[in-house]
Amino acid sequence: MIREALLVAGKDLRLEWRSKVGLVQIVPFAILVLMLFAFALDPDRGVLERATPGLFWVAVLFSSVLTLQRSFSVEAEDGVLDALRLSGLAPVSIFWGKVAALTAQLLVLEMILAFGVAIFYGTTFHSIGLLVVVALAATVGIAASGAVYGALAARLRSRDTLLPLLMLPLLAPVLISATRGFEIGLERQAGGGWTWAALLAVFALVYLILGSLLFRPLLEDA
Amino acid sequence: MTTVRDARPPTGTGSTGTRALGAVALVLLVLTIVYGLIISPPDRLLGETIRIIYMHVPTVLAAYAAFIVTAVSSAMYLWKRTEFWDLLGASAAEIGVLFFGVTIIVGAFWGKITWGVFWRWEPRLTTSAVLLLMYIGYLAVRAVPADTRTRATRSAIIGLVAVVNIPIVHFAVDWWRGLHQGRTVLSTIDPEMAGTQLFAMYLSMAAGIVVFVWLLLHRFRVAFLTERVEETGLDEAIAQRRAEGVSS
Amino acid sequence: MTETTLYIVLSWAVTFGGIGAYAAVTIRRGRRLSEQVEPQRRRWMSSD
Repeated sequence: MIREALLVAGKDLRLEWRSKVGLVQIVPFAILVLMLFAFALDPDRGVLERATPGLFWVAVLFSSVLTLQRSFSVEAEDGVLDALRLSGLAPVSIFWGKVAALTAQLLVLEMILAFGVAIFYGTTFHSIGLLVVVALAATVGIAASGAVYGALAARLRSRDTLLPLLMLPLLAPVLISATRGFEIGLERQAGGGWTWAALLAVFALVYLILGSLLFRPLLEDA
Repeated sequence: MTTVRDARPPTGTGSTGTRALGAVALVLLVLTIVYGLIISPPDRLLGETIRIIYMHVPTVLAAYAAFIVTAVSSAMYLWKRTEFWDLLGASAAEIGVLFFGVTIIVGAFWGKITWGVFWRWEPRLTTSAVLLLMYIGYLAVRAVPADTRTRATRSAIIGLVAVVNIPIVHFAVDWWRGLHQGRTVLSTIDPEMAGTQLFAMYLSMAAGIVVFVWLLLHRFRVAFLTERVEETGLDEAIAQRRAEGVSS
Repeated sequence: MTETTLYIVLSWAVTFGGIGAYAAVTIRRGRRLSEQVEPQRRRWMSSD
């Protein structure tokens, strides 16, 4: 199963690497969002600095939705989803492969965004351990729930408008928890950051299990 | 026993069952109006605003009942794969969104009197808003044309994901807002509420549930008829195609 | 009319009005649809 999942993940990442859409469209979009926040919230009044954790995660959420759309629309258009279904790979392996590939892509994106806030918002990073764990747990959660909804919306005619409507309310707890975790990690707030990391881990776990169970009907019928 | 009425096919989605339920609902609604607006005195803690709670609690109760029906139907659909569970889940989701929307609007009115503002980022309100948006997403996906099995599978998966997400949203919002404001304000329903007020509250809750069941039966039958009409349309289109094929 | 009375009236109106309107629409849809479906296919439940 792990071997099959790696196969799927490798295929996705190779595809992504060759097309470079993530690199030339989604990364610049994410940076652009960071700049828009600076335009909207006057950088001189300290609002930007205080809001950095939240703005970072909003940028991640928007870019994640784009990444998801991208990752599944390519497959739906080229009939890759059908090919995958007929390939004899277990749906569970396909799901885990998708999650792995999405997690890798989103982590790269988050690292670039972290550089972005360090440069544009003048953020200095403390408690690296907490930040990394929060980011990892949040990313796996986004990837797992995103793989479920991405596959579900892939063949919908109006997927471009429906996917954000489905994904963003679902990710509300991730935004809340990851932002709180980062606020504590960046020492904007005092408090127990690990509670938030734990909640994010629960979210990730729940969707990994749910996705493993639901991916078969999803690939066969949705 | 055949009467003239039976000879004529029934028109509409009514049946003996729904008519009986409808009668019970009407009686309960009239009693709710009489007790809730006239007989029941203002509450010791909430004052006159308890009359808003008489609308708030039954609608939220019915909405939760509806979302439970949707969750159970979604799971049952993925297991049994029958039209019944698909249509039941979808019908309940629609009614749930309606009741929940009413709950939130009525809650905002209550907030306007009590807090002076329509909205506060209070844990329960925030959770409700996220929840409502998730079920609006469910209905949006259902509104996209697709073949029956595809649409049913998609809906069932969203129905399951949404219900699993409820406790997570609840914890996240509760911990977050709990840090800032302490306990939730809407839970200040007087624990010593007694007599007429308690009776009025129970009346309104009973009315809410009966109205919900009555609506669900009708809505389910409408969904069922819609499917049959679409099938007929499809059959006719195929027949027409065949006829064209023969003549050309 | 005080603000409190206004919002009490509004909340009852929204609840009864909203749900009542939905019920009316549903019943009317049911009437219209049932005319288009033959009686023998008008079973309310089906497991096919």
